[in-house]
Amino acid sequence: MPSSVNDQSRATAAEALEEALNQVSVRIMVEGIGATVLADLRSLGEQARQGDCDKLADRTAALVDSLTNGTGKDIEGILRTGIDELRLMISNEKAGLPANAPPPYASLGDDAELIADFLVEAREHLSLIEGQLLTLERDPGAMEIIHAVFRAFHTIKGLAGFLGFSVMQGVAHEVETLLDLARNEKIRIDTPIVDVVLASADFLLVEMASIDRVLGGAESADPADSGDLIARIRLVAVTSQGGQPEVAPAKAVSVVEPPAQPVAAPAKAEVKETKKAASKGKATKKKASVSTPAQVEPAVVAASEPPTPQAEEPEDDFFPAVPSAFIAAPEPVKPEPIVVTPPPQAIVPTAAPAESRAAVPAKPTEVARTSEPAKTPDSGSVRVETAKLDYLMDMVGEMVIAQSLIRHSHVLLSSTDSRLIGDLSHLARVTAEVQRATMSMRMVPVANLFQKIERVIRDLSRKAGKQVVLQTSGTDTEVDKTVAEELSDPLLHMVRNSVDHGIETPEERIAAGKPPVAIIKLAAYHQGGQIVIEISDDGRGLNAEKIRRKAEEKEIITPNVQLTELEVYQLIFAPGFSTAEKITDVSGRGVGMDVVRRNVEKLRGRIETQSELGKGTTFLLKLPLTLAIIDGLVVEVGNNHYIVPLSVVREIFQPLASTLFSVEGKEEMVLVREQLLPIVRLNQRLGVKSRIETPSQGLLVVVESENKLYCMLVDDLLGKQEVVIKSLGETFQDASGFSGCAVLGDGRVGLILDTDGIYRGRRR
Amino acid sequence: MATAINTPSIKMFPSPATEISGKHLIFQLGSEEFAINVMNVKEIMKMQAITSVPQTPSFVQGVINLRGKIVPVINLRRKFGIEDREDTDLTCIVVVRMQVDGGEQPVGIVVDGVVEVLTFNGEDIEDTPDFGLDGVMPYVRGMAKIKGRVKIVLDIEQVLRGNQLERMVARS
Repeated sequence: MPSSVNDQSRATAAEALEEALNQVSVRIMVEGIGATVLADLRSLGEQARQGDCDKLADRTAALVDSLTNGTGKDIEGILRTGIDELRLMISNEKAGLPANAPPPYASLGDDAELIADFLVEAREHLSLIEGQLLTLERDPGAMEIIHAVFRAFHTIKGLAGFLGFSVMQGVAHEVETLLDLARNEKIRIDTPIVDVVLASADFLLVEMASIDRVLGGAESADPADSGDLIARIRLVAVTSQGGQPEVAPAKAVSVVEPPAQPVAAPAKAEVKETKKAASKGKATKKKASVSTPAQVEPAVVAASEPPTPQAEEPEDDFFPAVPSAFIAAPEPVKPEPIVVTPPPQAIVPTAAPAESRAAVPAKPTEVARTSEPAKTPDSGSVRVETAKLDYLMDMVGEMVIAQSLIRHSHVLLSSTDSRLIGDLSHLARVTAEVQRATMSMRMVPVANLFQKIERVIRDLSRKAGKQVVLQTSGTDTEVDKTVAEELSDPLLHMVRNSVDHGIETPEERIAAGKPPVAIIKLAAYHQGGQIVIEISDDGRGLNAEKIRRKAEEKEIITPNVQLTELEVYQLIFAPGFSTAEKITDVSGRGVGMDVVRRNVEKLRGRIETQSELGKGTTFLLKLPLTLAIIDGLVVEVGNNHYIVPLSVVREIFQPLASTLFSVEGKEEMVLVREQLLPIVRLNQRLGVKSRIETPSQGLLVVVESENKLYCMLVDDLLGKQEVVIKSLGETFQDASGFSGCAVLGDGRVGLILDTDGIYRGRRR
Repeated sequence: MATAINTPSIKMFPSPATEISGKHLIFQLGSEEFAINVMNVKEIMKMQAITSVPQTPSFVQGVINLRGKIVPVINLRRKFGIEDREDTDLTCIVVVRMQVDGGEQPVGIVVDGVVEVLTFNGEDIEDTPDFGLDGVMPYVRGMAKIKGRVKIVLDIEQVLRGNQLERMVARS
């Protein structure tokens, strides 16, 4: 916030401006539109500039511009909406005064616990709200969901008020008012409403984050300015209520035009809207201007606000090329979202109706699916600290080991007491069941993860001017909580890439004989003890030629290297690779996919790519069910047992002496099916004694490390085992070559080899 | 012995002998007896298989599984420069608490045997004699004379902290 002196002067300026504006509007009323209005407006702009209200001054200048250039157009409409808009800006200016400024978040220490509880609860509510809203957008009549969202905001409002977060309370209150209208069936939920409620949820999250920072020890944080948002909520409330007849024709317009147009050429669409809105502005204005301006604020807001949210909403900045046009177009916000995130009825009449319809039936089932898991958290759950769960996991792990030790005890094995044997096997069953139940406590359905993506696709496709629907399946597939958390970023990144690079614009799609609406599919399922998350789009597919050229250009590969198609696809995951011709703010900086790959590999997962040029791309993320447990290969070097994660092992074999080579007498290599692979002697690398002399006496374990294959020489193989991973702790954090340890079946500790670290440190 | 004595930059003087009182666990190492405050002791375990971690200092014997928790084990003989010997029935692991950032980390120390628990009074304690070495031994808090025998009172946290310092020196 600016200094108070500045604010004071701005306050006075705002009041003076309001006065001047009133005079202008009175003059227009009395004298009609004449040359004097322009002069008045110019001096108003001047005044605003002096009063430090630059935004206002700019707007006035723009208005004057469009008035002078706009001969033949609906001057009156432009003028009225322009003036109303100015009025709103002035009132915003006044609203942002220090007198009304909410207190900063500081010294929260007294209620720290209450606040922390509030944050947890509010976040939970907000995450539910998001999914529910998206469902609501497709099914606006779902009263139950409206009620649920309403209740959530109501709770947040109450709690925020109680704790003195007036800004959050204010926003929640406005949303609640808006939803109350929907609840009483005074308005129908549509895209602008969903937009504004989502924006409010985002706003609340941002606020909560700053409260969090204060709780975490930051000095203090200023609450963000909610003025614009509140104005926007009010506007949506009023337009949805009174503007019902206007909305319908607006929809009709967008249906008639090819749906891609409004984004590509917004100016055109907006001009069409102008008249309608202007006449609407007129209707409202007649009532408004009779009474004093202060009283009619809501009505004025109704007529004037449409451009404001757009001008002040940074996320709408995809209209930068048409500054003067959007001044004149009071309602671009409305028709545009309707087109880009197409509700089924809006697409059907457009090109390729058959395909569009084919996409539609998939939706209702999704609605049902996503709304269901969203409800479950309420059904009698207990919040437990993850530390406690981890401890329980540890203990259960110990119990399983103890049980297996007992089971393999020689005394008991030779026992003939059938009662004892029966009891023991009962114990084994119960132990396994307890272990399974404990594991399942850390599992969460992927539904929440997918929901986040749905939101991103909605926002992104609009930004990029593309039409995308998301189809999800297997949302109740469960993954480990940590996996779900760690997966969120890579998944978002990949979806972003799909929308940005993979999917064509509607025109390109139609030209290619595809339906204009692209489909991104997200699917989760189990396969062979792994979780597979499939992201597929029906976009342009990967162009192997182009990727290859790019990779050569960026010197990621040397020219003329023999690569299979799949290997070429893998190049997109190389650091510094990006095929996008232009860099957008969404993606294209070439840092994306390699980060994705690294994150997925950190989760001990793998990415597989399938693509067909012109048909689309599919990425398969294959991940372990849980991070807590891995399938390990237990190998022996000397007297030491080590665990190699099975996920990196490609094959194991005993080499023949004739396939072994050495380079310059030290680097050892082995020839496997025409491929030379380096050998790392584990005993040398780790500095332990080995029982064998030459590789042909031991076994070679071929592992994949950072996209390369190499062999580890071990003495012997002891078997495969599922192990619970534990950290080695700080004491050994620099013991290179180990990623952790695990308790083996006999209760001993086995070290888990970090195959990347071993290869990197092999020359030491 | 010299290796264990820390770099001069560390000014960790032993706390005054008068502070040493209360119950102490006496354990044996070679021919000497050492004492540590029982408040530092978490538990005493019989000797078990220790998984060695390659490329760590020799006195770090490895890790053990303590009811699902991974606990590093320090061999005090090697740490104090006493020759190795075969484990006996008396050899055991004393698990001590060590304060680290954000909590308590149990650390195991291998000793030749646990002798007894004694309560020290202030008059039993003498300051560490000057051995003529430059600097003091930061982890010896003093000497306790009880029943005509001398027990070396250790500040076990310092003993274990010394590890990390040496580790860092060794690395740089």
